[in-house]
Amino acid sequence: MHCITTDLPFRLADGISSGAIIALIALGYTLVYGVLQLINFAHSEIFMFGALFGLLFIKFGVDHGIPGPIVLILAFIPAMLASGIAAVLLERIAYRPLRRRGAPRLAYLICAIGASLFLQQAVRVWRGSNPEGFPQTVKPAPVFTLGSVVVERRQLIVVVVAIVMMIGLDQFVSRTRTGRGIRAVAQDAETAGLMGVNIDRVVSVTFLLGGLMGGAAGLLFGYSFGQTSFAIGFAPGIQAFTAAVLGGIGNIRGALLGGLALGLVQNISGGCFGTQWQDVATFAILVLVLMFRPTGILSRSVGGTT
Amino acid sequence: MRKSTKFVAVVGVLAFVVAACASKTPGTTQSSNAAASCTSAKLKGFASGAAHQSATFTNAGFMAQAAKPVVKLGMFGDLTGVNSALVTPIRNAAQLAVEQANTSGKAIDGTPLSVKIELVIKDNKDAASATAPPIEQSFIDDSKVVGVIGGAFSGETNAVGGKFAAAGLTHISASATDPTITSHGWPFFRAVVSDTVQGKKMADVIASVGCKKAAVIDDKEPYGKGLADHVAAELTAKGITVSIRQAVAATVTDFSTLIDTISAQKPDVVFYGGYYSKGAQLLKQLRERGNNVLFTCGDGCADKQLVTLAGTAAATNVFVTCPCVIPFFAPPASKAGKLEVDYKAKFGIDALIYSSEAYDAANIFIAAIAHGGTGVTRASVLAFVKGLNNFPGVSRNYTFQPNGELDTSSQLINVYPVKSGTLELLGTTDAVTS
Repeated sequence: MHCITTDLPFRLADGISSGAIIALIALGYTLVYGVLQLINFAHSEIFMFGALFGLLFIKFGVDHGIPGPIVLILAFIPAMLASGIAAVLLERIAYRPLRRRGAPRLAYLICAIGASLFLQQAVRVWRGSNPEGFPQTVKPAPVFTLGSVVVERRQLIVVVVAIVMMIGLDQFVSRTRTGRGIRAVAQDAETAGLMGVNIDRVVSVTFLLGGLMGGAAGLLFGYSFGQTSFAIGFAPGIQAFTAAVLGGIGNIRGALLGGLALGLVQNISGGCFGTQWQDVATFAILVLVLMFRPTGILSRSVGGTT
Repeated sequence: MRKSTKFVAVVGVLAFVVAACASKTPGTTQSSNAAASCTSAKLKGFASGAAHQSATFTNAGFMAQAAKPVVKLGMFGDLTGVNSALVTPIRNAAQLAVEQANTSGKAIDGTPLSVKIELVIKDNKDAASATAPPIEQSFIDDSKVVGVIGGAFSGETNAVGGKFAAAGLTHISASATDPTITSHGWPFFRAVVSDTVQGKKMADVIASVGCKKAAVIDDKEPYGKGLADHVAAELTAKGITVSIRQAVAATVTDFSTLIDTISAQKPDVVFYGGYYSKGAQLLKQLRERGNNVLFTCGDGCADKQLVTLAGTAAATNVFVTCPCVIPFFAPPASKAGKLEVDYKAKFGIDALIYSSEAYDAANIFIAAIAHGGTGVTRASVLAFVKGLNNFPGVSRNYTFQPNGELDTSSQLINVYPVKSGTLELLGTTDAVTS
């Protein structure tokens, strides 16, 4: 079993960097679920927006001779804004009217799926069916060697950005006034409303935060794997949703843990059994974990601090 | 909140405008040159540039007379869906052939045309099998249709044919390569070669450059998996070890698990069974992780986009095979080079995959119609196609076996290595490996 002996070190490096991206996406699912108990299936398209707008900006920057690394850093602004705004608009247009009318859960679910398809196909009409490649911004090169693991620039960038984002989000939710509002609504929306928390605003901010994280993830994804298209959201979306459930849906740190765990399990199981078995192994583990911990690894929701 | 929302929206719109102004990317100039035991540079004739046939044909441009009776040819394929990039060249080439024949008033073999030919084009979006039979029926119902070019993909082609057979309507595919399609006994012909043959010839070429240990990957789709299975079996038969035989679904973008496996086991060639978008992704991710292994792929990768999406820096030590002659990658002095010029003049874009074969299929039908005169029928067209003997085409000369497959002598597979940032037609597999 090379996969868990000699290959393990570099599988760890790739597993963690893939997992970090999944974790960032998972935050969007978990935040919205924490506040609204809604699975926002359109989040995979919010993520795709990040990759697309990041790409458009990177192409623009590279064409205008701005150095690659600077373009990549600046690209986080359009990527995150595009996704953040798209997420807020999505909530306004697709979910808020349902909330106003006290629609049943099923209506939200159908609306989420509809919004997902709408956004996906709208981008398809705009950008076409063919994938678009990311120009090289940061030349691939090893940064340091840890034992037998060669850590590449790409992996380092992805992991560092993801960790900074997640710490920022965690601190925002646990320290700020708005963050307290989010936690209050997550614990008990009705009481929070009676106590003077503006629920609409909290929900908007929650979608904005999820969108910003999704946008950053989209850009990191495009940068790491080199392409975007209208359809890229699907596979990472499912993985991130899985990661959120694995970590304990509604829990921010759970999403981080779930994402990393999923990335590692995918890479190591793919190495051991071949990539065609990757998903089989991953979902088998998900089922096993949920059998023993039905609420996920960390089960307390956004309402709690951990 | 209102104010801040507006502010965010304004910034977002600005970012959008700035981003939307972005255009094409220049290629990067990083090069990697790790020594590998087998490389595309070892392909016979790679360095010199192979010799090509330099025959050309001309259009005598005299105008068609006005009052000729109309005979129709059908064409169907995915013209607006995900695969449309692969099918547009087929439609365009068929249109070009029909237009040239109507203008010159004769078929490619010189037989005068006593009718006016009209091409009826039907879109089978996303190449869905379910929507193909109604298209089949509509061609059958139009009594002026004497032949059909299509389907473009194997699934949709397999879904039609039964009714065509009953109606005695000949159909020729310019691109369907699934080995089983010719097993039904329909009046179906294909201007290309099956994946079985392509798999065998691909293995020949891989062996000819001295590879010993291979990784064979597919995209879990019928075409990709089918071709990869054939390649893996043929490689094994040739004594080349297939140390990795894995698949990554076409929906997945992250190849890092697979690349870790490839980097650990160090095969000296990777074959990818699938289409160019994912092939380019795998190639790019391999190179970015410092792996310069020989990368090979079948006709699904024979597109400009393979290099564009992977980036010129990554697209080195690569070759693809195709049972086709792609005019854009062919030498200007060849028949295909001439087709590229005519095609580009008419459509303003380059003639890509299966345009030669579609052009040839259309010309076969046009010749059949010309030979039938004003009394042309579906039966006379079928008889003509069955009886073809070395009919001169752009891609090859056409002789069909009774089951609709090309005669063994016409079953040519071409090799396209990437040279200085573009695929280039090197020659047939037989020439490269002889």
